[in-house]
Formats: sequence, structure tokens, C-alpha cells
Amino acid sequence: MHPLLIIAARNLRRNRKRTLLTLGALVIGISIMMSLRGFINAVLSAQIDAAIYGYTGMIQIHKAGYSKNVLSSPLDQSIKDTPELRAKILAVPQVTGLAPRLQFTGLYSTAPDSQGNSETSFMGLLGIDPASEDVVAPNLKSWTTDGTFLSHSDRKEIVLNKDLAAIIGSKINLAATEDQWPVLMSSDVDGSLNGEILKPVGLLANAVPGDKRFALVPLETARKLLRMEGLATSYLLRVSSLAVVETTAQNLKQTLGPEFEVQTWEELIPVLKKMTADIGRIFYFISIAFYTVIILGIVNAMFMSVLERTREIGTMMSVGVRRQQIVLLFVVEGFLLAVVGAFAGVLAGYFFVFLMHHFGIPISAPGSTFKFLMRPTLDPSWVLANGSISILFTSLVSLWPAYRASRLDPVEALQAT
Amino acid sequence: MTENIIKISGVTRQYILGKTVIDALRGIDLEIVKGEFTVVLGPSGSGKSTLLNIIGCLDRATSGSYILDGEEIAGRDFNSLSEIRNRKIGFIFQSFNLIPVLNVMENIEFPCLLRKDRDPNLRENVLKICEEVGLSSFVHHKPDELSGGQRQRVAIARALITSPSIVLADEPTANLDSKTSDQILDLMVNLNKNHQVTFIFATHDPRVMDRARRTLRIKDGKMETNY
Repeated sequence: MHPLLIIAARNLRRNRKRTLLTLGALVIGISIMMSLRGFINAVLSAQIDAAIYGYTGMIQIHKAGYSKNVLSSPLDQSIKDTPELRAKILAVPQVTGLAPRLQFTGLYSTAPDSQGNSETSFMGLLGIDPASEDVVAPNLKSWTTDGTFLSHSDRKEIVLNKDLAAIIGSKINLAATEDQWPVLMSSDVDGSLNGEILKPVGLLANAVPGDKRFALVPLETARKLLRMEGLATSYLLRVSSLAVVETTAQNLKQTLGPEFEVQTWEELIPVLKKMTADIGRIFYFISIAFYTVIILGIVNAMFMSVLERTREIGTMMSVGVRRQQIVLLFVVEGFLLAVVGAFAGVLAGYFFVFLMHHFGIPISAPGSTFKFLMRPTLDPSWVLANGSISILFTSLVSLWPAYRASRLDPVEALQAT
Repeated sequence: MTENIIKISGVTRQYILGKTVIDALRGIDLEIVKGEFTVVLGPSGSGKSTLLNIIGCLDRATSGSYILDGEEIAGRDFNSLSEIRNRKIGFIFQSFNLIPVLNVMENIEFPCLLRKDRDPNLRENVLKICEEVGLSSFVHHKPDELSGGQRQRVAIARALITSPSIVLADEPTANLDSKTSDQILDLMVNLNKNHQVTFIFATHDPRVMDRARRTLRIKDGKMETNY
């Protein structure tokens, strides 16, 4: 091995306290950034999971023009929910589940109380098939905080948003008789107002930020109310993984043709994609600021080392060490520090993330009342990039003290005390 | 015929400190032949150290000519001077100046390992020189495990391993007791006699002056006595 490499390696052992302090700064810095990244990943993942597995599904299929007209006349944009169409969709590679939904609005009126007063509220509703939702959006059921979830597609039941229920004073009373049940009214596809008495069976937490005026009813009950037997406003699909969503959506577009709209979860909730990008940018700036402080600490320690070893540098110059070799000596020291620090930092970071993942962190997503148990994770390619960048930058900044060392005047360096 | 190892003509060295110009050397002429054992004397600030630094290629003359072992030194850049120091000059310092993280053997062989053309018999040569300077039992010791005299022996061995044209010794006995100083000086005298190593000393030690075959005296940047 070249003697300068031996000297560089041994110098790190020589001043153990300083080396440990420098390594400590790197280890703490890298492990904190990894923990923070893991935490952010968990927050984003919880938001995305809540949206995909509880609200939008991975892909949605609508009749062409649905997105444009959903606010004015959603019921006019329905699709015929036939076994043939379902089979055609389920035959597309990677599609693993399908759930039909009927999206509509209605008036919810509580049964009159002892004084004859009742509360009426306007709300958005989804008619769902609980069995199909279990496959495509399984989280929806898990957000039930009081009572039970919808039991079957053709029962006269309703599950209300918890906040909405609190506002209109609707109670979950499983023992209540039918005369105490509320009524749900809605205009059917022809504009006629229909009503259905429904039993409030459960309350849903706000797991996804959005309108709290929201309730679920069984699909067949909704179809009867709206006179829309055999129809749905959307199909929610589950595919084998998030990675194949885009390609599967393209395949579905080709298979179904122009009569249908196919949208991915990113298109349905663009705010999530934007939020992921924004958080990524914020994290990027935090990382730069954090690493700058750490790296300046390392540079300072290396300048101290140069100062303490000035006479040694003069001695090396006297026996013929060239300026480039002095630079090499200190850069190698910086590189070795960076490699050991990055390795230990990555190990420590993984350890912290493992602990957080193992025990979970209970937290609510912004705008939601539902507590998720977040489990931080890290993308190995991000960890590799993070570790490599730490090594690269620490090595690069060590060029500064290294250059200063190499520019020392040999006579002055030899006279240093 | 005696061979000039050093030939210095009209060498000056000026230092500029702000608006003040200091003439450290004011036209030095000097010739040293191979195998000489020379002492440079002079009071503090006389230019003695400056002359030695220029001879050792650690510093560059402002003007004049300096030929070392047939090569003109003036006008060379830092790396070229590094090469000259590595191949032609050995240094022995007052404070030994060993590299603390290297053991005796590594310290001695260090200058040779900086070269691209490494001597395949280097380890053998190092062991031989260790024996010659009395360090055979200490080759794996670190400098902080050695006495002052032993450290100076390592410095001597390091200075000689490259078979240099000259060895410059700056107050080599200043940090040693008198007995060790005598031993070190005797060692250098023997090396001078046996291997025709050219030694140039800067010292105030009368024991060194007693052993010197030539004495140069500098005052105010000029050679006062040269005999």
C-alpha cells in the first residue's frame, strides 16, 4: 500500500477523540436524515394508502364525459354493470379486483324527536357493494369507529361520517325500531324525488381530507332509490401493484375504447402527487442545510488537523512529498472518514427506522380524525444515493483543508511548533 | 580531482515584509566538494538558516546560481525541487521530525516509497542501515517508543537511505545529552569517512565544530570566513 494511504488511515486512529467526534457528526446527521425520510415516507404512504385503499381505488372507470359532468348530472353518466363488461375488465392483465359504485347526492332527515323536531342535511353518498369493496378498497371498512360497516349490498343501512353525524345529532342505536330510523331522499335519474328509510349502522372516521358531508349505503339499496337497477357511475379497480397502475390503465383504455374514461389514482387526486413532490423538495432543502452544517464541522476538524500537523507536513515536504501528494493525503483521510461515517450512519439510520417500523407511530393525516399506525420505510436506492452523496461531499470538501496544507511553505512548516 | 557537489555563485535572498525589504543573503559564493564535513556558523539572523534552506531546496534564491551535483537549481518549480530533495538531499533536524504514525522501518523507507521506480532491495537496505546506525532491535517501534538518541539515529538512517548527494543537519545535537551527542556525531563522522557522505551542519555545538573539517562563518548575509 502507498505510504501516504497508510499515514492517512493511521492518522485517523491517532487522534481518536477528534475522529470520533467527526464520525459522530456524520453518523448523527445521516441517521437523522434517514429517520426523517422514513417518517416522511410513512406519512405519504399513509395518505396514499388511505386514498387508494379506502377512497379511489387504484384505477377508476367511468362512462366517457363523466369527469366533466360529475358535478351537474352524475347519474346521466352511468355505465351498465353487466357480467360481460366486468369479465372484459377483469381479463386485462394485472387487474385483480373490481367494485362498482354509484355516486349521488341526497337529503338525510332524522326521525322526529319527542317535540316533533328533526334535522335535515344535504350530503354526498356512495352506493357500494361491501363484498367487492373488501377487495378493492379494504381500508374503507376499517375506518368504522362506531357500530358496524354495511353488511350486504341489498340491506337498508347507512354508514355516516362521524363529524356529520355529530352535527345532525344522528345516533347509532342498533336496537332502534324502524320508526326511529332516518329517511334518505334523492332525485332519481328522471328527476323524481324518492325516499328510503335506512338504519344508521355505523360511523366512519375522516381518514381522507375532504368533505365531511358523506355517507355510504348498500349498492342495491342506492339503485332502488335512484331507479338505476343494473347501473353504476364508476368501477373501482385493484391491480397487482402500484408500479403497474399506469401500464394497466393504458391497457384498459385500449381494451374499453372511447366509450369509457380510465383514470389512475394520481389523476383522480392530483393533490397527492403534488404534495409528494412538494414534500420531496422541502426535504431536499432541509437535507442541504443539515449536511452543510455537518460538513462545515468536518472541514473545521480537518483544518485543526492541518494546523496540528504543520511541522509533519513540512517534514514530508523535506523528504520529497509533492503538493499533490499532500492533497491526496488529506483527501484520503476525508474519504476514509466519510466511508466509515456513512456506513455507520446508514446502519444507525436503518436501526432507528426499523424501531419506528416495528413499533409503529400513531398519527393522524392532515384533515383527518382517524389515527393511522405509521410504519416508516426507506427505499434502498435512496439510502444508497444518500450514503454515496455524503461520501462524495465529505471527500470533496476535504479538498479545502487539503489544498491549504499543500500550499504551506516548507520552511515555515518546519519551523511550526 | 575533487568533485564539486555544491557550487553557489552570487546567491541573494530578499524577503519582502510589507514595504520593508530584508536582505537575508547578500551575494554568497560557495563551493563544497564531495565528502566534506562542513559546519556553517553564524549568529541568529545572520542568514545561516536561509543559506541552508536554499542549499536544501526548501527555499529559492532571489538571484544567483546554485548547482547541486551538476544540476542548476535556480528557477525550478516546487515539484521539481521536491524531486531534487527526494533524490539528492537528506535532512537531519534538531527535533528529529519523524512521522509519528510510522514505525522505524517505515520512517526510514518513506522517502524511497515516494518514488515511482522503487528499489526491489529496499527492505534489505533499510535493515542494513538500521544495523549500521544501531537500530536493528527497534525496527518495529514507533517514534514515541524511542529515546531522543534513537530517534535521531532514525532521522540519520532516513537521510541516508536515498544515498543523497548531501546531508543537511540543523542543530542535530541540540536536543540530546552530551553522551548521546558524542555517539551521534561519531556515527556521522564514520558515515562521512566510510561512505563519503557530504555533511553540512548548522550548529553552535563546539563538539560538532571540533569534528568539522571545514567551517563557514556567515554574518549579515555575507560569507565572512570560508576555510
